[in-house]
Amino acid sequence: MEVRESEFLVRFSPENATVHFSGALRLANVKAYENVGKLLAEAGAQVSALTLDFKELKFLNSSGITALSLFVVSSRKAGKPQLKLVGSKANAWQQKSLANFQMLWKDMQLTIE
Amino acid sequence: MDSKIYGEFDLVPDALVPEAQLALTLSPSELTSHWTRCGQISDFVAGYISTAYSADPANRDMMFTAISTVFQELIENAAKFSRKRQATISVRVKHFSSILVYEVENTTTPAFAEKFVEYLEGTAKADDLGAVYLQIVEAQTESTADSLRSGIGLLVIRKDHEVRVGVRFSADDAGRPVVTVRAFHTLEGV
Repeated sequence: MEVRESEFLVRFSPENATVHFSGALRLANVKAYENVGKLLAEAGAQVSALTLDFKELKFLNSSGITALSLFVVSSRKAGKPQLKLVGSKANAWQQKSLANFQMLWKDMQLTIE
Repeated sequence: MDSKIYGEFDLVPDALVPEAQLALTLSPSELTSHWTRCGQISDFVAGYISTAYSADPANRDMMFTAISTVFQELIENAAKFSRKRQATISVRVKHFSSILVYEVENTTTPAFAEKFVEYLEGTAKADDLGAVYLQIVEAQTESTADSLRSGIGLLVIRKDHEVRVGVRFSADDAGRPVVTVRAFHTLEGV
């Protein structure tokens, strides 16, 4: 299961319950992230714990932050899936902006490698 | 129309000579019709400035990402909220040793200008940007899909990238609102 456009790839790997993000997610508005949101919802419905791996994601704009925030809040309200976020020190924005998601759901695990 | 300023607009004197600078003129419609151009312009600006850090490739790459991320939010806002016909977006970027100054100017509609003023009045003096962020995002979860708007672009660059932002509202010769956004990005510690 994946969403692929010229600048990015979002792919769900059921074998390790991980959604991998790569490239540049800089779509025009929150609505443009609908397919990514659907993938996350479908992936989340299949597992009790889901890892979102951002290590290969170079850019995420504010519309993308909002779209992902909606998924985090929806998971928090449903109590599942448990979420784990993984980022990379190599991408400056990840250390700061991924912590925003944790503000939305304090039980969520965040690892910067 | 007298100009009105919100936030920190004159942090760096206009007369100060930068180490590097560039100016671009863009059309909002060419950005909205091919949205990936916003990313291309952001990467161009980031590449141009971060070349100054080529002696340390790891640092240059961090600079590139940080500059492109911040500029992207500024150019996206200008593209979305400009008047579309016979309108231009003027971009000026000035690189001083440890500070990068972005200036993005566009004409807009009175309705957009009014909404922008409301937003600035609500966030410009907020001490806790994290709380404002939570408030906006939680409110979005109650919105319908069609009415969803991010609304956190300037907030994210202020909160996560420690960018100081000032906005000037003025008018062009025809009396249309002109919005000039200046962002001051401290590059040390990026």
